[in-house]
Amino acid sequence: MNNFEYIQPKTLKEANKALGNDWNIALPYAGGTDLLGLMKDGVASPDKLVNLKALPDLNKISYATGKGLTIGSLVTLTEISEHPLIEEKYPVLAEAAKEVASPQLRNVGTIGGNICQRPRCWYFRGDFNCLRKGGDICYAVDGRNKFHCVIGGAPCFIVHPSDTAVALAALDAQLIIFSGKKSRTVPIRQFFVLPESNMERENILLPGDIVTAIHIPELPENSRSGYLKLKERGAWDFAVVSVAVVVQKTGSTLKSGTIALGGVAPIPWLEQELSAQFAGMDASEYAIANLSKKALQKAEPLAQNAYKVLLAQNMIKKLLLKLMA
Amino acid sequence: MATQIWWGGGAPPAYATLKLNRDGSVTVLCGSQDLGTGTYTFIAQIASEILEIPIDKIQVILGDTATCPYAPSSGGSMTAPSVSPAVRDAAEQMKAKLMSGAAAILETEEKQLVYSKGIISSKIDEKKSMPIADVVRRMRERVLVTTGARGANPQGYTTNSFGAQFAEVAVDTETGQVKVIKIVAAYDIGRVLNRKTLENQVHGGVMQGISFALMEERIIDEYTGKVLTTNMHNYKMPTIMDTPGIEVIIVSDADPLLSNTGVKGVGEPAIIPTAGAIANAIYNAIGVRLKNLPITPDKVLTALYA
Repeated sequence: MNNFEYIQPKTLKEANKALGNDWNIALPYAGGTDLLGLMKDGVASPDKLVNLKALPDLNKISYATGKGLTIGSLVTLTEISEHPLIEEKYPVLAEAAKEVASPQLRNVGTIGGNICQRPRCWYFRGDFNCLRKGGDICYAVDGRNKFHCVIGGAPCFIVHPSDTAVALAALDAQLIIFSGKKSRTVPIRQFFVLPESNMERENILLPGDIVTAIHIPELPENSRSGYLKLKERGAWDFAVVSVAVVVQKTGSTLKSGTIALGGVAPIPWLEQELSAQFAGMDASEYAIANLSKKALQKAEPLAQNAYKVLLAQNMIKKLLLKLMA
Repeated sequence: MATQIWWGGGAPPAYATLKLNRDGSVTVLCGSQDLGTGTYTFIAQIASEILEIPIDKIQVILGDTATCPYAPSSGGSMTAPSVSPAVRDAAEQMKAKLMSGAAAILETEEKQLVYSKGIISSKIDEKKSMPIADVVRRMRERVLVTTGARGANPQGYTTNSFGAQFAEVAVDTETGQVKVIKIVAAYDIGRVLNRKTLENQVHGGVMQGISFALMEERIIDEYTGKVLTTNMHNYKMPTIMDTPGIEVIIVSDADPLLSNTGVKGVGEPAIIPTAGAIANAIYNAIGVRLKNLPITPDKVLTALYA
């Protein structure tokens, strides 16, 4: 890791100014659990780190009935996973936050950072000059790709590693982003970019931008939600595949809902067509099994990751059945 | 389940020096090492048991072959079976030296003396009795020193440790995940020197065996030859959440032929059968043999449905 200058702005405006307009020169630093790893792997070598943790008012959680929940971007994953209101009204988010990493990392990692983290692809993080780093090829295509994406890929085949992003996509959350003069609101479903649009960034942020808060709209009364993550060990692992579901159920009929998938695409993947079929659907095991089988119809697996399609379908089924109980 | 056969009888040369100081404390010196397997513990135990003095009077010094007598390197389940006999021999030589010295001091024939709990007394005159520290002082010594040796292995025999592990697993046929619920590990390793350290060794070996069976894989990019799993989150090892119940059963007593302690090593045996037992249990559960380790969810799903 190279030496860097550590800057401690006191206001958002100062922070934006310190960040400048070149990520090679300055990067924002919150919990640092991803950034420091990127720097140690040689993927990022900024001259300056701009600390966000001293900025006021970025670590609050507030809720207004009818309006929804607003979470400051610096709120830690531990806080989110344990917050009674989030556990009650948005369990998918509390569960996703709880599934991240390990307790020590959750104590320090922020929700803003979790959403903005960079991919785990071992070529991206390793000694390979891949497409995402400005090089010529994606090494995963003909290489070791059991963890890479099955849909939305090309020419780069990363999966987005964030658990909370998948939950927030299912919740149709919005991000509030400060860009120096003012803030703007971007739906999280438009925040992430596919490699076909931009290979070198995972989201629409530009240098100087700071995510300040996440807003989650109020859910209808009859909502249930949950998050299911498959890991290769019992704790502290990124998702092989994950599922976030938000559904509205009355009696034994489903009215509406959203399914979002992690670990299958370069962005949190919304199964919009699938989700549309919730309307008027019987909440039975048979109907749920039939629905799940239709997920990822348009998937184009690589040589080693075809298993992810069946896995995602089975996990959608598991989670839906669990939520129906 | 899966079984293992390993060697583990140990061998000479291995030596231990025992010093009895005139304050009654003991130092045992040995060129062996403690890798976390409890060498310090069993050496002190043996000296304490043979000399019948409290274990907190015993200091063990290991490692430096400039000042300690030779003992083999720790690997191949060598240490306990090679070193324990040398320590026992040194302690028994010390006891003999003390009995001989006490006979002179107490003016009593050796065969009329009894050694008990660090005190030598006359069987025929209850007023004649002396703690071993006093024997040293009355011999006008500051320190008594003995060096014990591991004897030869029995001629015409091969010594092995034997073991079997049984694995209970649950396979989720929808996700391909394998969960190890319980491992029962049974061994014939001769005498148990310390039940706690032995069980710890088995726990550690079993966890490494689970890691080998289900998680660890060094992945290399075939086109460039570069390793892709260069850190502890890509190269996966178990966490506390992956730990099953582990039960340890010992079916053996001290081996009567092997040495004066009858101890066999359990270093490697702890890890040998685990992966095989797990793979066999998976076959029992889903009817598919998976031979390519680690057995990760993608392999189970591919084996079941592709």
